[in-house]
Amino acid sequence: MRKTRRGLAMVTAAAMTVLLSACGSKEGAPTTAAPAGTTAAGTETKAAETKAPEGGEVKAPETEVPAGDMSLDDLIKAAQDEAAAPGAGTFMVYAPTSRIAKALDAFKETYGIESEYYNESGQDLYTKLTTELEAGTKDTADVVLMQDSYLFQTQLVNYDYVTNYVPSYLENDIIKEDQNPLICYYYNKLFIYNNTDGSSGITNIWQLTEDAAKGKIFMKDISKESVNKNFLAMLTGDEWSGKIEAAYKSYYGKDIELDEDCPNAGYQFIKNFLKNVTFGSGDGDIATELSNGLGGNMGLFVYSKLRDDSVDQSKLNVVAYGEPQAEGFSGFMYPMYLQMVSTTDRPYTSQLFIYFLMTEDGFKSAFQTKAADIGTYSTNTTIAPLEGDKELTFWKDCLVIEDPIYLPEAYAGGVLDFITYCTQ
Amino acid sequence: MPEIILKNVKKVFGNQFVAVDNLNMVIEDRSFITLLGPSGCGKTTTLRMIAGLETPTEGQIFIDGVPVYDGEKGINLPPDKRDVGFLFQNYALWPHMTVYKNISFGLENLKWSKKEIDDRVNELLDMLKIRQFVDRYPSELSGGQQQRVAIARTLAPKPKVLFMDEPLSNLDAKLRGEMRTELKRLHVDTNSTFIYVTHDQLEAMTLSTRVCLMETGVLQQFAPPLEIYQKPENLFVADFMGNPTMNFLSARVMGKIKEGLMLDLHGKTVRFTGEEVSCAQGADVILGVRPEYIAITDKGRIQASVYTTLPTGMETTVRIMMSGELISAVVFGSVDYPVDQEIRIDFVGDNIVLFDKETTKRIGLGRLVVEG
Amino acid sequence: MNKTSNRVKAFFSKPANVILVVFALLLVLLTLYPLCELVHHTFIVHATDATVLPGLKKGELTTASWKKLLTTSTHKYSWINFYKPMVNSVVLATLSALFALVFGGAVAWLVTRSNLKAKKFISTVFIFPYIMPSWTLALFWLNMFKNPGVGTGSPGFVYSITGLCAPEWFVYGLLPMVIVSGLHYAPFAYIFIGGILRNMDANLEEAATILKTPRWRILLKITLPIVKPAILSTFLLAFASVMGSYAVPVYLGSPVNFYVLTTKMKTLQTTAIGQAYIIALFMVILGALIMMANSLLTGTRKSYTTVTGKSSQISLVDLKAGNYVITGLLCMVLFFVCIMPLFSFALESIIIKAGDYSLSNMTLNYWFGSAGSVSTTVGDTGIMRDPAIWSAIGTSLKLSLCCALIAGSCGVVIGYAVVRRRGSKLSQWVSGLSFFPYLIPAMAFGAIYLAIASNFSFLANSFLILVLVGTVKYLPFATKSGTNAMLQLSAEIEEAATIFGISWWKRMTKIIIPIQKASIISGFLLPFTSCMRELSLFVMLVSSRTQTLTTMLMTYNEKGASQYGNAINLLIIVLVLAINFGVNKLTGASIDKGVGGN
Repeated sequence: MRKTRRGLAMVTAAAMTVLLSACGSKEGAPTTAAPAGTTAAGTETKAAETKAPEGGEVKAPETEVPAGDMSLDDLIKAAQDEAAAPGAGTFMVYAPTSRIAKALDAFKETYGIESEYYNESGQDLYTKLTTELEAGTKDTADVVLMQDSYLFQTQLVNYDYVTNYVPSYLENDIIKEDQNPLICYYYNKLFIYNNTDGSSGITNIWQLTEDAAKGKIFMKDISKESVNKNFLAMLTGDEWSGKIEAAYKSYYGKDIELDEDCPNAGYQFIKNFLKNVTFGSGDGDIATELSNGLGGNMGLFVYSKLRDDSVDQSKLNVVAYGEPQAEGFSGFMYPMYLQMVSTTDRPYTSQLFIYFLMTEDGFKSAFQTKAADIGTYSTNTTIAPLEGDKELTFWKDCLVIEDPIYLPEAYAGGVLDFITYCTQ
Repeated sequence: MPEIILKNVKKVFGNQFVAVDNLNMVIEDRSFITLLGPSGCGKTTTLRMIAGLETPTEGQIFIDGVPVYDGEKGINLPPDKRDVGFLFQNYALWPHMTVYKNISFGLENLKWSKKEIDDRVNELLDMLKIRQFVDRYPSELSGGQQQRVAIARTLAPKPKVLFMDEPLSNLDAKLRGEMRTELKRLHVDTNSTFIYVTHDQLEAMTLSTRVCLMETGVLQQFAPPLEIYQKPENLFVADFMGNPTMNFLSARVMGKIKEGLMLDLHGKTVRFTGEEVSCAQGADVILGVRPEYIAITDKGRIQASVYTTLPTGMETTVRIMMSGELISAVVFGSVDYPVDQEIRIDFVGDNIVLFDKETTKRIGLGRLVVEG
Repeated sequence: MNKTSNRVKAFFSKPANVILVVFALLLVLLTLYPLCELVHHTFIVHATDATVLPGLKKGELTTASWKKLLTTSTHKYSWINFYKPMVNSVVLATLSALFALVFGGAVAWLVTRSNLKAKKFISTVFIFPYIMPSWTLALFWLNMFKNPGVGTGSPGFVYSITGLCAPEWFVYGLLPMVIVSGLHYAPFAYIFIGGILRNMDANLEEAATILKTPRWRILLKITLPIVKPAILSTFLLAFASVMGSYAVPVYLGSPVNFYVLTTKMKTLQTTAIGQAYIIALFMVILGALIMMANSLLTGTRKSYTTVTGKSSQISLVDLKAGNYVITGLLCMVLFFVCIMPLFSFALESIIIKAGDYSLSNMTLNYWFGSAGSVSTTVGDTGIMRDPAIWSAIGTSLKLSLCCALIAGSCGVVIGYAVVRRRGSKLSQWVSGLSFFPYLIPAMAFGAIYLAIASNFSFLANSFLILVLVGTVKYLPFATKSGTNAMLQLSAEIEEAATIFGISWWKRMTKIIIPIQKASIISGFLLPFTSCMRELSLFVMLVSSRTQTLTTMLMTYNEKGASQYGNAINLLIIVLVLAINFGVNKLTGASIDKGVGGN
């Protein structure tokens, strides 16, 4: 079955290439056929599939350049034609947040293109997507918004399930390093503490490992949210273990002594830190309860929860805003990748939607709808942070950021087993 | 007209339990047959097999010359194709339908016209005297009334054969008596064949034209009730039929004489004369004597004593101790003997049965005379 | 040859046989096939496995997942990820099932055999915990007992009122999990045991009373042995349910590192899905073992079917002075676990800042507010103004109704066939098979069906696939109640119609179903209720068009919008309760009737 399908795809691709070259330069013509670039990419994907990638091999998502530099108007037209074409499938977006619904509404309002979405915030999103892609389901996603760099890299990129597309119209506005793979925006999770007992937070992350902090640190169960695991895993890399080691020296005034099972300072920090941590069921609950709870308690949760009605903001302080900032890091940040599914049957719509989400209008329609929506940072530098929030560059300086290249390495090396062991 | 023939019918249930074994029977048209036997003897299974509710394991069944079941040829007609009626022990009235609906429901299915159905239901309502209950639900009726409705429902499509599975067992004694009368009358009125299952030998005696007595799946005797009573084929049949039960006296053959045997009965020599007697000398036999053939008389040749007396008004059963064995005698009218009174008894009548102790089969029928 | 074909013909001339064969095939397809897939998946290298099991490529067959999960000693991997959760699961399931049995059984006995007061209230309210989603009690427990001594230190109800701090082991861990799960499944025991006690001929006990047997001896030597089959089947159901439950361990166990198989399986799903499938497989095996033990202990011979409505006046045990104490205590406990959560959810859905119960901190905006009236990370309107919620209500109701109708009807038909052919191999097989979906954890069940659905474009993302999994998953309930309904009906009732040549279809629709109407509708209620509050089964199969109330609830809970979460929670409970009561008033059917109560 699958072989036949693959064969068919190649034949169609070949036929189309011939057809298109015969047509000359009529790229923008209202045709339901996919552009040459996409078709070629599709073929390539299939070819790549035959030589399954090595387990540890790291791939970069291939970059899609639209055939000839299509003008934005042409892209809109092509996308609208796609939607109007007979037998056009559903334009489907998978995302880990229900806010995507608003973006889709705005997308429809702006361009008149209907769409649907599926949202689920955990592994299930990946399971669903990859199962469907493997089976070649017709109605699967066309565009995905994905969090968790580890899963993104190991489940999608490594198998060429997704194709990177950077809208050329915004190329200069989007931060260069966030273009491949394209990151739509970042979320941050910050160390935030209850100040009701006059606490002034921490000046060095090693304070969090001391006995005095036992039972006073709260974060969401790492088994329930994988970005938390990724954060811990990142600490074992050279970059962060180095910073952690330096922080140790400056706090205790001596070199760190590692336990037998800790290869570097990052491991040692995880081991000592997790001893003090209590896992909560969700960031919202942690934020709410932190503001109701005891002074000095420290939470690690999504910044935006601070603006929730149920949280008493006046009782909470953000470590990152401390003067001076805590040595080491003040929390972590994780990217939300925005990618085209390689096998999409709506390539123009996908591109237009990606463009839309990267524009200020598109981004704000879903992720900054109100003053409370802090903690979400578009990689489009023209979009300013909300009042009271800081620029993305500020956060990139003081937060641990997921690295899709290092994470698979770390997991293959058994970091997770170590972390699990430390939680016992 | 329908004649029901069973040939080598056998029924084995899943777990190798043989419920009916090699049953052969011819049920004549318009007869009233009783399938009689203790519980678990296979009588209900037989009934259900003829009706088509149960599939035999092997054998053949014909109704009116038509094979309704044939294990070899794979014929198995469903019950509705056999033109039969079935009266269930628990009546099986449909609780969510009125009396009228209960009777008419089956007819509707037989594609009768509305008028025909109405006529037939009314006819039955009158026949069974249940007109006043026509709009009631079964739960609002007494047991006897429910029974009548069930009969009406069964009779409605005018079945050629009517099957009844212990239909009277849930009624009290008085009602049971009344219903017996009506059933027997109904048999004549409806002009059809009745096949009736019961474990009550009295019911079998009073109702049927022929009794089929079964035990553990095997047919013991198939004969008119009086014949079964008088000439039981074996000890089981003799014991099952009759109340009070037949007296069984152990004896030993001393020698042959003309048209009979000399027997040793508890040290007394008795002479047994009758037809078809055949037995070797020294063999152990059992004498079957109905209570009415034991007479209490001063001229009696045997000495005995009264154990207890059980009067019922019309007759009296006297339990007698004879040479350490307890036997029963029936005396007409009301008599009373003091306990332990010495009496003399004798054997009377022509229908004393002789059984082979080993095979339990009947080996003779005749008179018994005490020699001394 | 001819003889064989005759046999076959004769065999298929009975509707019951046709039904059994059809369902045997269907069930093999719908339950055994997924099970095989599950086994298969434990040997496949998935994308996630490939990165933690170096040297292996996606799609390869391997035993590496098994080896890794069962035999790795580095960092106590196997102990932490498999053996300990396994022990925890078994301990939790056993204790919870026992607690459910003792509590439910005791109440059943009190209600049927003593002169307890307020019986009507108790018997109505007692099954509430089962109708409510299982996580409600867990959340409620936390709302009640959390205090500055544990967790984040925010005050709960008990602390706010009395200032008493419950120790950590009372708030999190095994004890509260056993209590909460036990309470959730106690209605099983109450319904099963109560049903038998009610139907049991009182003469059996009276006979012993006359022989001057003391009360406790009667209970021990006569009553208990008679209700033994009910006890065992309660145990089986509760054990399997607790085994597969996820919500309670997540809320009450994970915060103190008390992992069970389900929570561990969920964790491993992100990093090593092959190992997650192995855990799922062990859950199935454990359930199957219990099921086999159950059928060994209650063979067909030992099942005391104590039907007949003959049960005369039962002499009730006089609780004397204890009556008011016991009644009072029981009512208090029931009020606490059955009514209080409703208030608590209602309250939590209208207060703005948690823990502040002053009127100024209350608003109905989370329910009815217009756009912009509330500020949360997920939404800014009241849920009743959110079209997504209305569509979710619609989907939930439609889905539950479809599943209930299909599963219920299949249950009636299977029940009919199983009872008519009672004792035959085929019938035992079908009734065994139909119980199997119950043993496969909902999470694994959903994942397998996702894989199957992906191969059929008409199933993927469709409403149909939700109906399909819901139906199969809840078939066990429906079959059980269908079988119960049929057992109560004597075969003669049907035969009386057979004699007239009434077709099978007409016999079912005109005779059997009308008579057992209440029982049968009850059999529809259970799948309906379960479907309304199911989450893990559907979470991977819904699409934006087919969001259910529970998946919406999860979205809100994940995002920490607790007011919305509480509001939807309350909405689900109220919907389910209202429908249950409505159906009960209209038809006399009720959940407890469905599973064998009276």
